Amino acid sequence: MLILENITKKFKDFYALNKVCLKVEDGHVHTLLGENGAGKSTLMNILCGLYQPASGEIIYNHERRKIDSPQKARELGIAMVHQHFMLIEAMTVLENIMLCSLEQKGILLDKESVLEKVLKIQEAYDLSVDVGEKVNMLSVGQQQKVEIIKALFNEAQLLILDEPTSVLTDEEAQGLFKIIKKLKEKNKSVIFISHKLKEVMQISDKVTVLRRGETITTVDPGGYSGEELAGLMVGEKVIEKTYDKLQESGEIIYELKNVSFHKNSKHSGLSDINLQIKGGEILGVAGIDGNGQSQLAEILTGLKKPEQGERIYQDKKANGFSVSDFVKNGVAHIPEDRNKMGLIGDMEIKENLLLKDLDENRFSMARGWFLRKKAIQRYAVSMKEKYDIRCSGVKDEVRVLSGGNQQKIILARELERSPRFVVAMNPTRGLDIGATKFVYDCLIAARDRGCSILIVSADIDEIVKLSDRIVVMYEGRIMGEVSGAKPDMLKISSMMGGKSFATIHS
Amino acid sequence: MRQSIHKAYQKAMVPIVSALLALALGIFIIMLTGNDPLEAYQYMFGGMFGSFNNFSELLVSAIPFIFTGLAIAFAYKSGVYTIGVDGQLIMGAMAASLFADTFSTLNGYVIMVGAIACGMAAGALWGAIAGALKAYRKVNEIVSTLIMNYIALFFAQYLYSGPLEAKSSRIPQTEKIIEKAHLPILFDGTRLHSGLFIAILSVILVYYILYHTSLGVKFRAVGINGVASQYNGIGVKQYTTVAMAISGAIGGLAGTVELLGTQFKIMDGFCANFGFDGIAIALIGQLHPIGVAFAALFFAGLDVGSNSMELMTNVPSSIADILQGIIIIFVVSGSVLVREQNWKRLSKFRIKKMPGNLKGEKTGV
Amino acid sequence: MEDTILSIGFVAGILMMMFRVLPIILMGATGEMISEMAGMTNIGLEGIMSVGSIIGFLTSCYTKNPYFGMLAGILAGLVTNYIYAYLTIHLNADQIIVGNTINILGLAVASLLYTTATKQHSGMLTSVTAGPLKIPLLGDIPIIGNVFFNNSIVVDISLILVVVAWFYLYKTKTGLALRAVGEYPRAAETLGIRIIRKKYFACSVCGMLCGFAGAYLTTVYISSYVSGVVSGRGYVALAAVIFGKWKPKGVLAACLFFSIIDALQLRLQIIDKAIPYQLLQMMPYLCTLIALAFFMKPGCEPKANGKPYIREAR
Repeated sequence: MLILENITKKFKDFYALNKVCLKVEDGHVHTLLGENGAGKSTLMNILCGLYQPASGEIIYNHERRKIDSPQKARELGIAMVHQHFMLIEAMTVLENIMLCSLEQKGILLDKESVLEKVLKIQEAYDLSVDVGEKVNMLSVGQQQKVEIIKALFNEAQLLILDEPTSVLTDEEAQGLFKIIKKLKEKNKSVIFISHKLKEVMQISDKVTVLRRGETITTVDPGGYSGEELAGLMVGEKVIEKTYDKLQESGEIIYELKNVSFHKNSKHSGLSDINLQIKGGEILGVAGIDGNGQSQLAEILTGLKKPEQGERIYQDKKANGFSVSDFVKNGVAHIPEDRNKMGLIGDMEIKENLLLKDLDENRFSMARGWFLRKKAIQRYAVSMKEKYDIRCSGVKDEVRVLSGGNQQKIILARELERSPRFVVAMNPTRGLDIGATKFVYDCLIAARDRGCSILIVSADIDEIVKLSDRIVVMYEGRIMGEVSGAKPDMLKISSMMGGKSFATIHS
Repeated sequence: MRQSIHKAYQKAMVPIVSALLALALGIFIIMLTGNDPLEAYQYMFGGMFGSFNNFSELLVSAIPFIFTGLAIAFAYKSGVYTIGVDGQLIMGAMAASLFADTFSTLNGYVIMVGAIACGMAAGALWGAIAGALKAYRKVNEIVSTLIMNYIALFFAQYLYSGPLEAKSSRIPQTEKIIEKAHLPILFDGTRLHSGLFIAILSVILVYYILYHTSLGVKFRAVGINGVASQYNGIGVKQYTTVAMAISGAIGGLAGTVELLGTQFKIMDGFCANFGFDGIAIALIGQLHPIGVAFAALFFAGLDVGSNSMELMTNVPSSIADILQGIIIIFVVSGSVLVREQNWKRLSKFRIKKMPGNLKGEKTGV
Repeated sequence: MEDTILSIGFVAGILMMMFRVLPIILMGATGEMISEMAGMTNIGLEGIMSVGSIIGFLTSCYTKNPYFGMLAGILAGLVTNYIYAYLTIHLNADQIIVGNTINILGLAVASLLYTTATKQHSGMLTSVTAGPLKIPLLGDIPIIGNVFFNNSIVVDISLILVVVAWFYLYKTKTGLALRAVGEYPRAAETLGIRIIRKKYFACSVCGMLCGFAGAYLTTVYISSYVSGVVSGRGYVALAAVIFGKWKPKGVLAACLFFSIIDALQLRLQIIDKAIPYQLLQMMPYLCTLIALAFFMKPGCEPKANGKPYIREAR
């Protein structure tokens, strides 16, 4: 039995966890339910020894424990199956398991005894995987089984499964639930992290709802409906659309017709996407991270080409367009990771500002061979002022700037080209309130100029505040659409959890 | 302005301090060989600056180093970690030699220009192969260029000891470059040839392209962050291939200028390891064309100076190579320390309590 | 000419020669393989071998005992490679640049030591070489006996070392842990494997083997020292690791293949000028390049090879 009492964890000024309590009984499947950023992962990282709580107590099997390393957690019998597997792909399953038994006596690898134990585990829990196969030849579902075998091999009593179904097919997920049932039968406890309401209802004995780092309640799932749980997860917040739309949407500027990409991969693929984006509107794409949103943005900006279906931009078939074709035709992109995808960290602010425009006549002669340095400097300084980029000069390297200022550089670069269409991925992630408002204002101003914007965000508040229309993505599909004016939050939540609604037109 | 001077100063400090430290360490090494270090250094610096002739020799030796250093610096700036300049150099020189032989009846200047063009083209092609292999087939460029060096070397050896062997000579070598096609000597009585101008021109050109054209911005962008470059519509694969071709062309130029300016024939040991020295020079020059030029002068100085030191004292000239190696070690560690502002690293591995970021972005909040 | 090339004597001579060349490449490649399995690409083999060869040579000269020479060479290789290890593991310096530096330094140190030694010792220096070790009975078998059982003991040692390396990497716990370090150091660390220690260990092995290979060159292969005695064999060893796809069996096969080519070209240089031996010398590299470009599936190379392991994740 595991009891967590008043666990608190602070990151700088921010409480990731605030007096969180949790009680997991032996032989129970206990679900942690919460939105992104609710604190689930932080809590689990404390449990498996990666983080230390600022205060609070962990009581495990009636004793107070201090878990200060992953090894300690392992000794206690707490094992975590991470979302990203800790498996060595070039090795066989057996070798991966043997890596867990290094501390045992002996110099030589004892294949026979390990194999014997593994086979016993496999039989007891129905974990059929070919142990002689290399990990990179296995499906994701099978790799997950290997992780579970590893945990059981180490005599784990408590298994933490971090969003285990987010990488599985439906069939594989059903298989996993069977395994979880077996684990229960053998009196092992499972902490199950998920936001898929259907499966939570299916397998949990107890559900603890976390919201913004606090425990809201712990309930029996039997007494609640999916909608009620969704309500608990989202809270009774009232989000109003903050920015009213001034003018009617124009003609369709961008259209995807039955677009598919890596159709079989639910979490990094798209299947049969139909989407229309009209002139001068903001289309919000809601959904939990990793349901195909990144791929959608990549398709729209030309980083990936659709495998099936048609991509139509400004009434032209654009299936073969490259990124630079889209850039030339007025598509702007505010990517999800500023540092990795948006900016060249070791380059100056002004170079980053003009990355896409240096060849233009304003800034250079002879297609970039003679730069008009004065014009560039003047432009960069004017951008610094217009977008309020706080720096000691436009020659600063962008990596030394704060996240907010970095995002402003991207905004300046993308929006000053007067684009026709903007893809904005999580445009305010990690920004403070002031910078967030600035981003919103910029996007709204662009819309009011007649630019269309597709905004993808894991933060539902953001979507509701900005969007004129909202679609919800789940496992690479669009589950349905709601109007941006007074959206039905419960419906959005349900769709995010996998419930499909017929498309409602605004 | 002030800020950029400060930056340049900061960048130059590491190599300068490293060089001084290495020279200081050199004192002990010379003492270990049982010689008088002061005397040795006296002759060494005399060999560099003692007379105009000595200094001209220093410049002569510096010319190929400038090219090889530039070739490496350009590639590294563009994100390609080549070590293939040796191969490009020999390929370039062979092509130049072949051209000069075939068209030896033409006007001298025509031969010169043609040979240089051929040399650069051959180097560029040899470089572009590695670049294309990296861009389109994901072959590690370090491995491929290393291998291609040896392929080029043996291929050249085969040519000048077989089909292209000079008829008059007993040692395998190419035909001597016809005299009218030699790069003009700048000062009578010295070996200093007009390749110096080509080298200076190349430094300026590479500097200009890297820092004053949009092409340069894109090359550097690809070099620093390929993913972001792709997101901004820069064709990373093409740029990688072209960067290697340009680096190869400069490498080929190194061989060609050396052939037309000082050596006139290719035989075993022609410019051996100049490309490898180029890596050191590029590094000491902090990958900046102008820095590279100074580093090349310094390397050439050590080579020339140590030769005259060996003549006058009992200290072997390999001291110069050792000093060069030590300087790189200092520069490499110095750069790491300056970048991370963490002198504790020298003695121990600092361990933060936990690898806090097992899951990327998600862990934080 | 046809007759001489195909004659039994010629073939036996080539085989004999091949096994004389083999230990140099094989030991270097085995060391490099273990190093790369721990994620440490070391292109400084040539430099380490150079140091090993001169130290081995001088020790053999002064002690009149080639086996002391070999021992000294092994130690010298170890010390030299610790420079590489310290800079790359502790300071996260670029492995390629440091390797390149080791090459420059190694050649320079060798040359410095040799010139200094010959100046103090008037006259030609010759080392005492270790002769062949004939195994009774087996050594008397015609041809095969000469090739396998009447060669230097180092030949046999080098072959045994590959087997040991294979056994270590695939049959022992610590070997499995070493491979984990080269594949996925972060996962290895959560399992309690000490990354730094493993990397140093791999570097030690690599340094010692390369030092041994260098010493073999001047205490068995030839008895005198000439500058550049290693003559690119360090790079051939490097190519052999890639050509052998980072597997002991593959590396052994690659080394055998490359040494046959080496032996052939050495022979051809002497007997038949019509066949250009340089094209044969090119073969190892050409084969490796073609294999890399067309036949290498991704995943052969250890995943974290060449990447610095930075423990303090941001």
